[in-house]
Order: sequence, then C-alpha cells, then structure tokens
Amino acid sequence: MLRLLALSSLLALAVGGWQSASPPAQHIVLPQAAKSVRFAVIGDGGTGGSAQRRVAQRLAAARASFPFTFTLMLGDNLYGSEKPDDFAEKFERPYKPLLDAGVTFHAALGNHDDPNQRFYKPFNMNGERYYSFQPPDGGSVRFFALDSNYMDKAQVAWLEKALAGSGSDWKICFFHHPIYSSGNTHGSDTELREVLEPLFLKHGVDLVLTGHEHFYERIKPQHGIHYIIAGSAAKLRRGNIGGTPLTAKGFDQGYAFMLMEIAGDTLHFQTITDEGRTIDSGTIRRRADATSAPKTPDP
Amino acid sequence: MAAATSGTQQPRPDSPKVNADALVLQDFKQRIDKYMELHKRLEKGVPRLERVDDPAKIQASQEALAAAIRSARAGAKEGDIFTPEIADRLRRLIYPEVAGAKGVETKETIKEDAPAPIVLKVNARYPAGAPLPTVPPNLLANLPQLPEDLEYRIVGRDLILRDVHANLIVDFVRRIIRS
Repeated sequence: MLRLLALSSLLALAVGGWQSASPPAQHIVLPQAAKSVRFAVIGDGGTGGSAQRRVAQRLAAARASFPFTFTLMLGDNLYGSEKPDDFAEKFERPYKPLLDAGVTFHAALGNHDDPNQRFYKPFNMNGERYYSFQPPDGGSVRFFALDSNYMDKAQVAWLEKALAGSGSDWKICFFHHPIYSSGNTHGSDTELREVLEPLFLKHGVDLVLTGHEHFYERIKPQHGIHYIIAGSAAKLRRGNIGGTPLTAKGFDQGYAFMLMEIAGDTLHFQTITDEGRTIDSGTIRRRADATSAPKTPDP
Repeated sequence: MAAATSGTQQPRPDSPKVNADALVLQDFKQRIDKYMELHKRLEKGVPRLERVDDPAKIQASQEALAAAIRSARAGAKEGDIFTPEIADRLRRLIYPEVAGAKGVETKETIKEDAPAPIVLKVNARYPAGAPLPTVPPNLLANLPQLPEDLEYRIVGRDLILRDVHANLIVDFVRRIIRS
C-alpha cells in the first residue's frame, strides 16, 4: 500500500507537480440526507497564495464526496490590490473547479475588501453591502450577510427588519469580525456585540459564522447561539488561540474550511484542513422560535 | 384659562431660540447634499456601476467617476465640507466613545485594522490595497448618517470622508481623536 502511495506521488510530480495533483477523495462524516441544504464555508481566503490553492483543491475534492451547492465567504475575499487580474488570481482560478461545477459563492465584506466588490456578480451580493438570501436548493433557511466594517444605523435597522420579517426555521448570520473570540491578535469585538447580540437573541438567530481571526474556533454557545470562526482558508496565525473559557474547539495549527449540512432541525458540520484531516465535527440543533409572534414563511 | 405672565423676559414669537449645534449639523447635511448632487450628476456621465462578471468594468467605472469628480472639484480643499465648526461638532460627538477607560476598546478597534499611514489629500485616491479600517458601531451611532455612497473612515487619529464608488478622499479632519 505504501509503495502504491509513493508511486502515485511520483506520478503526480511527473505530470505537473504537487499543485496540480488532485487530493484524494475526502472522507465525509456528514449524513447527506435527502433534501438537505449543503454548503461550504471559507474565511479570509483571498491571498492568491499556495495555501489558498491547497484549501481550494481540498474543497473541490470534498465536493466530489459531498456535493454542496454554494459557499459562504466570510470576508477578506481579496487581499491587497483589487485589479481585474487580482479577481482572477485570488478567486476565479483557485475556485475554478467549483465555479465550473455551478457552485455559487455568497460573500461578506472584510476589512481588506473594497465595498465595490458588491457589484462583482460571482460574489452574489446583488450590489448590496449587506443582504439576505435563501439557498437555491430550498429548505427553511435564510442567511444574512452583514458588513461588520461599517455597522451604521441604516444597516442595524435593516437587520432588525429582515430578521423580524423572516419566517425561516433557520437564521444564520455571517460577517467578518467575530463578536466572540479567543484570539490573541484581535479577540472579541465587544462594540459590535453590543449592537448585534440583542438582535440575534430577539429574533432567533441560530448560528453566526465569522472570520478575521486566522484560525478555526468553535465557541461554546452564548445565550443559546452558536458562534464559529473560520478565518484560515488562506492565512494562518499559528498558536494564536489564547486559553479562554469561550473555546469549545480550537485549531490554529493549519489551514481549514468547513462543510455544513442542514437537515430538518439539525445542522451537521465538518471542519477539514488543507491536508484533508478532519479536526472538528458535530451537530447543532436549531433554537426554538425566539418569539411567539406569527411569521410568514419566506417566499 | 389664560396663562399667567410676568411681563418680563418673554421670548418674542418671531425669534425662537436657536440650537447652535443643530445649525452646525444642518450646515453639514447641506454640504453633504451638495456633494451628492454633484456625485450623482457626474455618475450619469460614466460607465454605470452595476452587477458585472468582469471586474475591469467595476474598475473602469470607479476610475472614470474619480476623474470626473477631481475635475469638477479641482479647487476643493481641506475643510470645504468639514468646516472648523463641523469638525469640532463631530469631535465632540466622537469624544464620549473614545474617552477614558470605556474608550480604550474603541480606540483599539480603530488601531487594529489601520493601514500604514496615508497621505491625506482632498481628491486623492484612497490607497489601493490598503485595508479599510473598521469604524466601530458606537461611533457610527453618534455620527450623522451619511448617504450610501459616502462613508466615514478613521485612519490613525484622522477622520476621512470617502466616496465609495469613486474611492476618493472627499475631505478629512486631522486629529479627530485626541491622544
């Protein structure tokens, strides 16, 4: 077996080096239930560097075993300059296999992103700095993408209205800056927390996905809400997770992305490194409706 | 029943008390509105910024609008929008959020995402590739709301008024945050 592996490695090198060799099929622990909503999550991915390409290749390989239909981008979609070539180098080329397969991307803005990215069609932001959408494959799920760099009064008012008006069973928010974090470099953004957490609690948000910190951290549920940081899809701050009581699971020793599947009232997740190792997995149950007010299902 | 009157110090009905701070903010709004009138008029003459697959079209629209604004505001200078009175008012609106122990975290947030020092110049492009420092929500809650195509950014201690579509520095206030 070892000899076979060595032979296939040599072959991969001979035909174009490690970068072009497809990683082997990914072992998926998600249930792949009928009619489930399946998606991937990447954060802080837009470097155009080798780590981004490795993660992208691993993501494409994972899709062969777990056919997800869309990907959430948690900000810092393009680091540095944003000339047309940068869009190609830092987004279109690394994720080409996914784009070619029809996987859609839905971006939130990070502090390295020009807000005019909202007009770039493949980011599916509809020309808005903050927006919501339902997945193309159905399910009672609504995602809310926020611009945490600029949480002004207009955005807060929009979020309150959008959350209150959504009748979806699952409400998932994603944005760049974590409001709970054990990071030594950034840590929790408490000003943002003061503004957002009351809305999340009032309107039954189940899960919050963020980046900014270049590691993976699953936070212990805070007031019943689950928070996950997944900001290591191309950048890594090794050893940056401080020892705080917030951490349910942390990984700051490698690059990572997430796969998620929503089936009924359960969300299943799996976190995979650029080397194909699963470093976290589990389930999240959605919160019971936060208010008893009747709601109209989202169209 | 008639109201009792003392016969002295009665405000004249034709001269109501004026709130000086409100006047300053009204002046700010008028200057912003005037800028946005120009922005919107010039936008009509450049490639429309709309959802596109080709990022070159976004860049072309941005650069064309920036050139048009620079030309139309060739004589614009520091303080045209942020007059000394407006700058002082904004400074006072920001102060409670950055003062004392409570303000430490807000100042940290501003520092965290700060780019390398940039040259402040009206009509200059915000440096390509430089991060856009996060403006803490508690500051935005205190500052007057801006139209969609304008935003505040704080770089170091300076406040920038940035045109989002054109990526231009419209005006700035030095040392909006005192040490």
